[in-house]
Amino acid sequence: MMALAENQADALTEVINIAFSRSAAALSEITGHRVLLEVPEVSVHPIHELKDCLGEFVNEEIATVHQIFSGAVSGDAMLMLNYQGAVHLSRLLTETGNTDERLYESDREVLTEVGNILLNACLGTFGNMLHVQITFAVPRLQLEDLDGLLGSVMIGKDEIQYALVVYTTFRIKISEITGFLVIVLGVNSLELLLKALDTLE
Amino acid sequence: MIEWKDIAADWLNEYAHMGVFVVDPDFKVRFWNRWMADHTGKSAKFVMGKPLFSICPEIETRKKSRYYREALSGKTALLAQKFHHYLIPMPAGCTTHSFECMQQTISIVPLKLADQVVNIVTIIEDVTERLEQEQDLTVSRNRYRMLLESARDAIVVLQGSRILEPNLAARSLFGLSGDPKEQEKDFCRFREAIDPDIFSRLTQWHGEGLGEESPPKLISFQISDPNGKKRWMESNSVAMTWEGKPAILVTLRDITRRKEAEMALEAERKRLAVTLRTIGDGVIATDTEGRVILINRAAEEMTGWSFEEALGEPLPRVFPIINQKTRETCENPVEKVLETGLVVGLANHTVLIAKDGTERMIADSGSPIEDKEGNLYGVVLVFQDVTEKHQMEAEVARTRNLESLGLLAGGIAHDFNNILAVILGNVQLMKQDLETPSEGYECASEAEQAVQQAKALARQLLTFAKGGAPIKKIAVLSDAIRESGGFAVRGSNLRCEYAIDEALWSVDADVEQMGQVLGNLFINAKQAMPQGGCIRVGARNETLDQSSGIPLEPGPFVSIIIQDEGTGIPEEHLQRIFDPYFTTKQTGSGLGLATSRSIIQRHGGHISAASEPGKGTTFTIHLPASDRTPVHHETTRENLEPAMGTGTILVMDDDPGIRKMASRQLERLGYRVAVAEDGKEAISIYGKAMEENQRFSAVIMDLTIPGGMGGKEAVRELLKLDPKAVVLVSSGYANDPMVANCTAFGFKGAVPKPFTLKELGQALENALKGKGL
Repeated sequence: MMALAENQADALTEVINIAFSRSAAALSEITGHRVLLEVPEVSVHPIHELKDCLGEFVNEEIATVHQIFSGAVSGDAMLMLNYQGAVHLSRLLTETGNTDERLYESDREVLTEVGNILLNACLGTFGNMLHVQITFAVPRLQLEDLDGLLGSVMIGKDEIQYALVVYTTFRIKISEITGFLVIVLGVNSLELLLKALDTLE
Repeated sequence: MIEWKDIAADWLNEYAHMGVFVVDPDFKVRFWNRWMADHTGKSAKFVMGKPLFSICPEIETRKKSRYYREALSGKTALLAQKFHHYLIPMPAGCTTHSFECMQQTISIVPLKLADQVVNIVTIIEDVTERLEQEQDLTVSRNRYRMLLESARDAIVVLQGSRILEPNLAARSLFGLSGDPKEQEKDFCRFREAIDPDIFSRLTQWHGEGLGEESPPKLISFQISDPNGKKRWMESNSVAMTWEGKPAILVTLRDITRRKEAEMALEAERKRLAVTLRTIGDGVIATDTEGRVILINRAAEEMTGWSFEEALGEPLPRVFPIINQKTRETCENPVEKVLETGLVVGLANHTVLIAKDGTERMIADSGSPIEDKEGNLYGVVLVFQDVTEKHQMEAEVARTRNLESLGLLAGGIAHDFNNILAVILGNVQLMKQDLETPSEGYECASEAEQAVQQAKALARQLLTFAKGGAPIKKIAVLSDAIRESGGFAVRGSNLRCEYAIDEALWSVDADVEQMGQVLGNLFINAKQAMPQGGCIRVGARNETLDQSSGIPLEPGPFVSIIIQDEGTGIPEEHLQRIFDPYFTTKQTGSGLGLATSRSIIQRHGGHISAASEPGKGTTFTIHLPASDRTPVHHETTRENLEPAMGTGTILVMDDDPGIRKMASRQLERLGYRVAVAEDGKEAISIYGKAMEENQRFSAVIMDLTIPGGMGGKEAVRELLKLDPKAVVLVSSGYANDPMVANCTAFGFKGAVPKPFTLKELGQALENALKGKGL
């Protein structure tokens, strides 16, 4: 684990909190329900250590909204939820009354939009902070295990990559769904970001 | 490259199955493909260069225009149908019934050139049909869940070491959580509740049938429910594919109640079977085709058909019945029941013919077997062997006939004896007045002899019919045996050989009745030897012990044996020769041996018969020996003159003929006579005489006085008047116990009617001398 300086961690947490509160506001507006997003913990890991900190996700099929971003800062932004969590989140947000345990195409679109809002907010905030334009690809939802996902992220990348891991909790009504927001950055992008964080002070 | 862009643009315009349009940073339309024109009704020519929000004002009114403004900053938007429904209102296709307008998924993507957004591309996808399919799928899955949840059977899907989708019944039966996170724990709970072998059979089946159309296989077993209670289950398992992976669908039905009911039914069936087998009545059940489905032990014995043999056979074969009288086959009772649906009984005199030909008279009834709804599904026959009952009824009827006959005979004999008494008395008196030898004397003697025979006949009739008590006297029967034998062979080609102990013990017996018995046996012997021969007659003293084989108490007995050389009696008849009315003779009454046995039994003795066909028959009589010495009145008096006497005798009889005859006889014997018609008059006369100090030497009283005081009451009254009075009883009911035991009633003696002059004289002499009987 690459240790963030305390001030960096605090600054990052604050930046992400701002992005999350915007996302939560956007989700609340879209769904008509009060949606809260919490950021209890932020950490940075070399990408090969990512599996260790994702805990129980390692052995499960996970639903990931994956968005590639490019520009002065580039990488892969991902919202990861376990399968049941993804189904549950979609059900809570759309209130279809469907008790089915599977993800339909409609659910996938819902999750993609949610991921898009969240990831756009975070990356947009980073862009603003760094005063750079970030270009977003169209997000897509992937259903596969962690190894498969990481393989697709790492392929063709020579640069040392780090993962910014944000433990994320959605609170909707009385329910709570947890997941991870993971932003995989090359070492250069991360450097830029950390520098920018330092300047925030 | 330019060519490819043109080609791509051309393809997007003409062929893309989605809406694509492009606006510039001022949101003016720069591209509008054919799909958009087709679905909005606005041609590219019409919209080109116009502001998007003026063409489609809903984008702004529904606050979707912000995504375009955000796109200017490089953000991509993906608008899910579930949240937004549509961007531009378009009519839904004709394939949908659920939505009023087309449901859309929208992507709004900025196109950049040198970090500047130069265009914004909007892609609209029609998801209406897909949504409908999803909805249908959801509905059907919800229905499936509902069905699964409401099923009373427990249903689980086993996949690897997980349980998927256990329904409500399965959750409650096995204590499963149903939580997707606890699929493995649930699997463990499920496996632990089931016996390992059973579980193995369920999973092995899965292995064999994997991917195939495997037929369900039912297995019954017990499980422990979460409360530890044992429950009976019936289960089948089917191999299947669940979300692309092999799985087994296991269905479990709780059959505890059914099993308990089955076990109770089985126990009941066993109880019933035991009951049916042990009851004495025959039971046969048939199906509606009249074929035997059950036969109990009693029916097996009566029909001669075993259960195994009878099963499935038509009833008339196992249960052939005929009418005893006509010998015609009776109607099949099962057919009758099936036809009428009613309980039917068999006609009287129905005879069942067993397999070995044995015939039994049976009483039977057939009843329909119906289920709860009243549908007939068989017939049950219950029947009894009534052969013995029938014989017993016949015996009872015969006994009743005998009783009636006895009453009648008794009455006749009484009157007959009175008449005989008058005839005998007068004939004897007449004989005394005639000279001997003379023809008149001979005639009178023959008349006297005939009267004696008539008297014996009346006595025999009374003895049998009324069961008269013997008038016992101590006697040695040697002479009586010889007399009977001699009388029987007189004038025939038979002879008797006697072997009689010289010191034969005496017996306490009614000699006259013994004469009847011996007479009957000698007549039997005589009739058995029509060609003549020898009758061996024995009499000896015998002490019987416990091992004698004779049903008598041990002690001293006199045994009398009469053996003929006749044809003998067949074995099957030997058992019945003492039965009343049993006879093989054309002229026999069937009463002789029955009377004999009756007499011997009343003497506390026993009579038996042994026979060997062709060699002859032996009758043996045992009579209890007496330790008293006989008084030889009978043997000594025959040659004596009548005992004369003096004094006055009062004769009480309702029959004037008797009174007159008795008076004459008594006067001949030297007595004076007074007469009375009934007891009352007799007491009056007796009392009067006492007052005048003229006592009667003796009183002879008739026992029965129709409409007046009889001897029984009169003797009591008379003895009150004069305790020393000598009263004799005289009755036509010679076998009446009051005559046999006259002293018990206060009499000093008895003179059964008809009596001879000698008998009267002897009886009076005995009574007056205080000898009694």
